[in-house]
Formats: sequence, structure tokens, C-alpha cells
Amino acid sequence: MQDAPKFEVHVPGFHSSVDEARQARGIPASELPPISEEEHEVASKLGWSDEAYRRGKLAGIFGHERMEDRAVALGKQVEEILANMGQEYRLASVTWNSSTLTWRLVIATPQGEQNVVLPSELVNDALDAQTRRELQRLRNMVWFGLGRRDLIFEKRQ
Amino acid sequence: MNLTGITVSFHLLPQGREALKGIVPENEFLEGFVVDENHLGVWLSLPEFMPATEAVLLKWEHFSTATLEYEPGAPGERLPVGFKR
Repeated sequence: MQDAPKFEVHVPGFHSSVDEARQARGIPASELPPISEEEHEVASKLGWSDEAYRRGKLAGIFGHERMEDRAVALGKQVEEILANMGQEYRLASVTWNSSTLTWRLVIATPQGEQNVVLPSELVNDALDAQTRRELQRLRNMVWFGLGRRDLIFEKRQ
Repeated sequence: MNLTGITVSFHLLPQGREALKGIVPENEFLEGFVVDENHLGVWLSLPEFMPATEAVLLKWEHFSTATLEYEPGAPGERLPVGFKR
């Protein structure tokens, strides 16, 4: 079992992919999550059966778990970057923003807490490829977001 | 290839040199750290010429080539896929 992260993870909302919808379609009806009376009313208004709604809800749960896993993976990568900057840098939280498709990191620094916003494309490239180049891009953007542009250019000299 | 997060050397076209006049010395090449890219162009941080809190837009149509260091990297170690007994 993996250690629980030392930072907070916030992934608001439920958004599923085509794969997750397909995965939910393969689950037996008896294993689908229950729905509340309110959800039943919403399903009726949409012209959906309760089962169709429950499958949609399950797909959303799968999507939510995927994004939470991604948040933890990003946070651990950022913790490694911060570990090389000194003990006074600490990751406090990772938050997903589905409207802007960005991740917001709250990082404790000697100057107080700072927000660093990273585009999901950059984060996906780093986490999926795991190559030195993509991880360096992520590291550089964290440094830049923290106002440590000096570190980016120091490494190049 | 995405440029955000890396340092890139741009070969400026005459209109690019004109647009950046007064911000950077007139030169064929401009090296900067790409902080963002969008439909307009790339947003650059230029440590030699601008404060850390400022970035400048270099429009896509204002440069002809972009050169960057590329070092192929082996992927990191991944957990094996499959089932364990």
C-alpha cells in the first residue's frame, strides 16, 4: 500500500472519459452505485432510466478517481523538485480546475504560500512520458512559478 | 513539440526585430525561456533584458526557426503491468 500523500488533493466534480463510460457499461447492474431521490428526478427529466443514470454516475466516479491519482502523481513529482530546493519549500495542496484545464499547486516558501498554475498538457506530458526532457519542463515551470528563474538559467551555465 | 518550460533560441525575421526594438538589442537571434504559448505566439521571459515579473510576446509570424537543446532520455522506471500471485 502506498503512503498517503503529505499534501491535500482537491478534484471537484465528476468528469468521465469515453473509456470510463465504456468500462461502466460493462459492470453488472447489481454493482452500480445507488442514486438518491433527487438524482432519480434528474434522470426522469433527462428521459434516462435509473440504470443509465447509475452507469453515468459510476463513469463519473471512475473519472474522479483517475484525476485524484493524477493529482497525487503530480504532487509526488513536485515534492521531488522541492526537496532539491531546501526544507523551507513544501507542497501544501494540488487542485484541479476543469474550467481552465489547469492544476494549481499551493507551495509553502520562505516568502509565504505561493500559487503555481500548470497547464494540464504540460503535466500530462511529464507524467505520461517520464522522460528527462518532459520532467525538466515541469521542473522549470515550477521554478518559474516560484520566482526562481535564477535556477533555470543557473542549470544552463 | 511543445516549447513551454524550455529555453529556445529564435531566429527573428525583420518584422520580429522591428517589433522587439527597444526591448532587446537588435540581433538576428533571441534566446528566451518560454513561459506559455498560444494562438498568438510564444510568451518569453528574457532574464538579460527584462525583470523576472515580465514576459514578452514573440508572434509566430515574427520568427523563422527555433533552436533548442534536445537530449533523448530513456523513460523512467515503471511498475510492471499484470497480476501478482
